Amino acid sequence: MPVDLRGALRTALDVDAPPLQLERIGERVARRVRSLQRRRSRSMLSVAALVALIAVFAGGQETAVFYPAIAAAPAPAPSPLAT
Amino acid sequence: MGSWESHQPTIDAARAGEGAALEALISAIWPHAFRIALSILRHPMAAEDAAQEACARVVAAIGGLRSSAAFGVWFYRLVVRESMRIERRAPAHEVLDPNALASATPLTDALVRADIFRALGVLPARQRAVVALHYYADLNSREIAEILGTPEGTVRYHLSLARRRLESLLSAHRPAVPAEVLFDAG
Repeated sequence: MPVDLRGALRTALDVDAPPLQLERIGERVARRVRSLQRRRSRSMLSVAALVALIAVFAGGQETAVFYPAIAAAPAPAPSPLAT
Repeated sequence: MGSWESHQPTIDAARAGEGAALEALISAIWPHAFRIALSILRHPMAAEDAAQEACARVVAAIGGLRSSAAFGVWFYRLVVRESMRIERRAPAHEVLDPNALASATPLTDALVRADIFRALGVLPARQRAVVALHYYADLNSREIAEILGTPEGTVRYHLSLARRRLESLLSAHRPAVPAEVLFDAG
């Protein structure tokens, strides 16, 4: 005889769900919103950090032209020993 | 349970941000969320946790749902995803206590329930999800594939495997399960 799985599962799952606690769901929604806000502010911070890095890098490009001139300058003479 | 057509006006209103409609919708989906989660997790407290989280996600994101017709698949996806997350974090090793589910249920029903949940426990969580979505929520393999994010063929394969295992397990437990509940008359 074939097993009536549908009937068996329906019987098994025909249970009373616990009372719906809307306030608990509301708390979870509030937690979710707060976590989303935190994540958004963190991502905004990382965007700001990225912008700052780009600015530094772009500034570095300009100053890079300056380094060969420094390298070509004569080295300062060693200071005499104080005896 | 597979069709949400009768709930379309409520879903539309909830999507539009009407608080009363959202509350009515959550009240309507709550038992289904709990039962699907229960069939995957087999533990009432874990199932309540999963159902609450899925309902919270519905509340938080229903405004962004592209159409009311997509609600059923979307809702079941949230329930299954949350149940699987809880299952991965803390798989239920203990046998479900049928008396903890519904004290008003007659003892024979509770025993049937215990047998079936014990048999479900033998299946991997993903197969339990497929079985619940097919046999309890009345969804077809295309809808289940959409919910689980797997090819339709994989769903059919899991369903066939689960069906064979459940049939053999439940046939073996025949003495504890009344025949009129488990077996076809013909």
